[in-house]
Amino acid sequence: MASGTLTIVRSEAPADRELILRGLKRCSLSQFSLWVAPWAVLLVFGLYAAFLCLARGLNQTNMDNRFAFGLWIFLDLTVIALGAGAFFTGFLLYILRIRQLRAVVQSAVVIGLVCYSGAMCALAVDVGQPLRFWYTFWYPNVHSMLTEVTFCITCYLCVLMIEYIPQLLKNRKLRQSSGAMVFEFELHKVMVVFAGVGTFLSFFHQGSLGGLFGVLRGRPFAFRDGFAIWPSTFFLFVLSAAAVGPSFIALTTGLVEKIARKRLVTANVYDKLGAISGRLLVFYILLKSIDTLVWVNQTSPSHGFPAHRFYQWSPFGTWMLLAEIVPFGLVPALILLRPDLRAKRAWLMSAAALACLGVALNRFVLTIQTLAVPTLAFDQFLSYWPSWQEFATFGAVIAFGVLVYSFSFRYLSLFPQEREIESLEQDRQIESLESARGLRSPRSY
Amino acid sequence: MIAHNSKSKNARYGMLVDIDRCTGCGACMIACAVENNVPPAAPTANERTGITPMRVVRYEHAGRTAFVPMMCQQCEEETPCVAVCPQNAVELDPATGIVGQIPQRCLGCRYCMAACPYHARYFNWADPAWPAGMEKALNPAVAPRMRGVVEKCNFCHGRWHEAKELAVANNETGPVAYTPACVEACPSRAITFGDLNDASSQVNELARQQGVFRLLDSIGTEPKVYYHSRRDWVQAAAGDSKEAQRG
Amino acid sequence: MAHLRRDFLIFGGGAGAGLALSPAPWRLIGDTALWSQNWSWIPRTPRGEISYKPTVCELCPAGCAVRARLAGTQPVSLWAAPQGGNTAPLCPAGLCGHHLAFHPSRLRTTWREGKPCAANAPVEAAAKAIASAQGAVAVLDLRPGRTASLLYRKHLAKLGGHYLTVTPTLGSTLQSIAETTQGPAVPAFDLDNTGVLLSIGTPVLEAWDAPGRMLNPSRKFRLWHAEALESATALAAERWFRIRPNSETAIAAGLVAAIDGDRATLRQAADLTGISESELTAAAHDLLKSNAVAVADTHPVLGPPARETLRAVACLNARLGAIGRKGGIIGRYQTPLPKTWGPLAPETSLDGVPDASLHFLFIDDATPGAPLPWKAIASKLAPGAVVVSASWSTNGLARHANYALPAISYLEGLHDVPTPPASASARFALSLPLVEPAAKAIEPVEWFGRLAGDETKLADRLKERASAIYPGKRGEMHPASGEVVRVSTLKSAEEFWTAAMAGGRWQDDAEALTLKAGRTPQPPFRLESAATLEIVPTAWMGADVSPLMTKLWVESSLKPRTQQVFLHPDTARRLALEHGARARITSSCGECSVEVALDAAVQPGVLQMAAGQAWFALCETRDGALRAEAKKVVRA
Repeated sequence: MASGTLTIVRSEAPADRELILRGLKRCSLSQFSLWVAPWAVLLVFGLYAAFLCLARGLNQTNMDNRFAFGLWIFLDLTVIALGAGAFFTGFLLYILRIRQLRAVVQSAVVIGLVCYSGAMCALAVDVGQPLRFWYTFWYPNVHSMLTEVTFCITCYLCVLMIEYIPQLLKNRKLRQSSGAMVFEFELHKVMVVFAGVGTFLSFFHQGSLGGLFGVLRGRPFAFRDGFAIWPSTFFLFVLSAAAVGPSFIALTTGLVEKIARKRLVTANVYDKLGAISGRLLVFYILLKSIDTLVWVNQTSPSHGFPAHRFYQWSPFGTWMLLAEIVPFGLVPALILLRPDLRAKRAWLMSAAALACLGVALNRFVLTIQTLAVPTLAFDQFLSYWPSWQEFATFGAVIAFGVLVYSFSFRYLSLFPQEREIESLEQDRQIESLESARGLRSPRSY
Repeated sequence: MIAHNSKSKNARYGMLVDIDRCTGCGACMIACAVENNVPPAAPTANERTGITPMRVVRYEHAGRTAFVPMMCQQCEEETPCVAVCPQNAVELDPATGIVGQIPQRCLGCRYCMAACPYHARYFNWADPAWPAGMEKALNPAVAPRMRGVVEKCNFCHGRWHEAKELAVANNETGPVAYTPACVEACPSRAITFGDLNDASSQVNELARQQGVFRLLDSIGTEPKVYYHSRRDWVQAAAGDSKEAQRG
Repeated sequence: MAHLRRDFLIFGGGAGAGLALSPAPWRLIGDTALWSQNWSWIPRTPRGEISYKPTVCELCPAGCAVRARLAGTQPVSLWAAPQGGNTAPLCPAGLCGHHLAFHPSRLRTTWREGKPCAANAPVEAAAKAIASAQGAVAVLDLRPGRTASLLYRKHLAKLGGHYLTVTPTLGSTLQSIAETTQGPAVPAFDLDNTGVLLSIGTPVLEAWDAPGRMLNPSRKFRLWHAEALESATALAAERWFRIRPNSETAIAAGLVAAIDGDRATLRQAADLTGISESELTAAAHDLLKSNAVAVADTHPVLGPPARETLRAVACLNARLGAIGRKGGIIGRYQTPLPKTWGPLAPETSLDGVPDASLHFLFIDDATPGAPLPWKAIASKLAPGAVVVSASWSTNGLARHANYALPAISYLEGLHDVPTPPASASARFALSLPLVEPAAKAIEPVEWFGRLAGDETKLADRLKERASAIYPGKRGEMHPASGEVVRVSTLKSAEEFWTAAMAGGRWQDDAEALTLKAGRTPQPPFRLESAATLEIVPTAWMGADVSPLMTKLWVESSLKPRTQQVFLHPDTARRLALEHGARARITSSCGECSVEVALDAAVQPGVLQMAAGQAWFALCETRDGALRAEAKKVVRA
């Protein structure tokens, strides 16, 4: 027998280990800096582009009187739909008590926070007079969907902040303050209330975002009948956001695992997310198909616009409608419904990505295509391509999200299962090491 | 609805535009810009970002041409822009039927522009700027707008205001008669303006003749601008887009 | 330490909550909103009492009566003056003429070769050139027919020089009639009695006479229009002959041939114009029955039509019996002028001057719309010639002249307007100034007059003119407001002048004088076919009068842009160009780079472009008219 000490080699602790929670392994500070650097550059560049838009006016963009909404509004709608995973995961966990989701709820809150705050920042640049933001609160128009959106999103952002604060307070340094600990404890007791409020608010603003376009009687392409004051797009938006929220959480979690090179959640979490997403998605596709048929046969012709007319402009042909429903809707839904396919990570991720792209396509159709399609007989079909300032500002929003998430991941515990999985991994490592050295009999624990 | 035939103290100002008389000279567009202090094109402006509250559109169809003056149609029924403005910066004035825009309250979200099917709303994409000294020649009756707000035709509300003040000073009540700039400027008298509520007004009479139509009637916005043409291909362009849309 | 931090946090939280309950943050954001409504760079509107002043528009020969609205002393808008209870509305240029003073390209200082120089430099150079020129001196008057025009002729008579115009005082058609008729009467169109006005390329509804008068739904004549382009006049005409480009002579000759029964010429004309023989014959017979008259003036910005076209149209008018007939071309009195002014140099066309013969040229270019490229002038200049241009703008002729003088333009000085061709009787109307001219601006005719030794002010000369009109006791004074007054009821020339200075416009009695037809041109006429790629210019009035004109051509697509060429889709396909491509067009005189736009309203084989720098680069003068054909069109 070889006489030797069993040493477990620890990786070198990173330079900022005082800020990292005990027991969590993170890469070195220089590696982290290397990861952060390009996003920081993108952020700065995007902030410069945003500054140009604020200083010189919106002529810096390629939006015009016909394309009053452009890349930013499309992206705002998409990220808010994707960030719905935040409210929906909270709802599923705290209200419906689906326990597995505890593993991702904190990450979902951060994602929701960056999605919503990023969208608000993009909106601040998108409006012509940002200093007048408070007019909506002071002179609200109760008939306008956008008023509802503004109120709800603002409230929801506050809710997200409040949900994020406990995580911040769990940071190693901040925990040293006893006041912070007390505050965090009290907050945790009322988390259910916040989850409920958040669900309620999010339901409404997701819906109102859909309602924004569904009520436009001047745009027969987007206009829908519905229930009471809410057009069908209200409900479809809520449903699609709920359906794709879990997919996006699964997608982001998978991405973080890949980048951090460690497992953060157990496989059954993915399975749960996929299953919920699949069921909701199939329900959404069903309702969307019915809605489309009603629109094609009833709503649009009754306004004097046969639906096929809208699809005669290349490249916005009927293929877009079909793409939204089949390859980007039904296909991922069916994949996610099958447990055997869900178990395979590649299938799950592909299906989740397709579902997210489907929602993005849906938002694109309702913003860009609605505005591109002519209304008057002597209108022309016009096209729009964003300017570099628009792309850069969008890039800044992405960079902001990545940076906030990266810092949150590094210095907070976003995945409660992380420690558990790590210690399991360590045990397995010791076991295989010992059995390799003949110190243990191969026996399962 | 063309005539209320009512003794209402409220006016419903409307227009009748005779497309057959419009020669596309553009006098109405210039008169509107002069009256309403619309700035000249910004350096970055083009036909998609310019501000033309009155805009004459050249409509071509199968080798034939017509000119269609387009301005805010002053929709009456569930006015799209009024319903969607989050700040209540747009309102339909019940006393005149004019859809008014408050530029000082406009946030610049452009939702109203997405809602308007007539493309009658224009955004100030740049700071309005006049060549040196030309601000001295602005119309004192109309406030210039600032960057980042939406503007549109308001049937020369400043002129209504002047007429109203004069009427009040003369102790007259009831709707006042006035003439918007474009109506005054048209060399071929293609635009008739007046109170649609007044059964004896010329615009009321003309709006009931043959060959009169409104744009996008089927949407149900009830615009108060009527168009007239004896040419059937122009009538077909009104909103029944069966053959009129260009591919 | 922990205590301190907690206390600090509690203090911070409390302060935040307390502040939110105080007015401070709300006032602050309220104030920021107010700032956003009142940035210092948002212009303030002018203040001042609103008043109305009459004047007359000088931007084209129509000379519409204007009622200016002023805030204090500044005109803020121009509207049509009420005339007999009906307003005769202005064209887009007329509506923003008050912006001329603020145009960014306004010439405000004396230039030499494009750079500022002392004000007396051109005076010395001109005096020297005139002294050594031995009569090879000329004035090019781009707005003939005014009193200032007569003064130029007066001064030139003294200097022994030439008075040149591009578009003649009477208009091209009437001028060619004047050359074929005898007698002291001046030919004029009698449109109030015309049955059918046959216009060959004349922008009747736009820049020929007051649009308000021509477009008035109660106008009496029916309009037939022959033009290759789909202009506003073409679309509004009762009948539009869509002729091939460069076939204006052919259609006039064809109608003459139809009347004469000349089958061969009729067939040739039908081939060239694209109008069938039967249609031409039917049209000719309709015209003969309809008290018709023909006109072939062109848009002021495009220069005159070809001389052969004018000959053919003169012949056509004779065939139609229009010359000397009511409703056709009648004779009218000229607006009287003072006998004390002595002899006047005759009017000749710039094109008629021998090449390289002028040693000194003065150009009166004081209002927008110069209808010719520099090369048309340059060819007439002898080596070492001195050119002085009194210009309103830094673009255009001022760039090429040796010296450019900042000219007093419309609304800045007391001027008068000519009698337009469509007027059946003489007219005298003052364009009253409403603003102060720029500090260094000069009155062109006064500046030139000083070279001829005449220091009299233009205002005094106008008064002399008024004093010459009054003794005839003819006609009526149309005041800016109030009743029309017969001149015979005015008590003195002073009263006449006062009425004129108050905005009164004198219109002579409509009395047809005998117009004896002399030697009318006879067929055959020289008929040319269009080039394979004929470049045809379009023009619209006032494109450069005001920065607001961008509404019509930048901020909308109502009017064509100058750096654009419009092609029929078939033509574009043949040239392998698509919409939005850049093309380089080469003609025998020059080349330019333009953006291609497809337009099904353009005839195949035609390159349609707005008159501007690109057109001027390509065109040349042929038979007195500007023409261009594309030798090569390639992608740029």
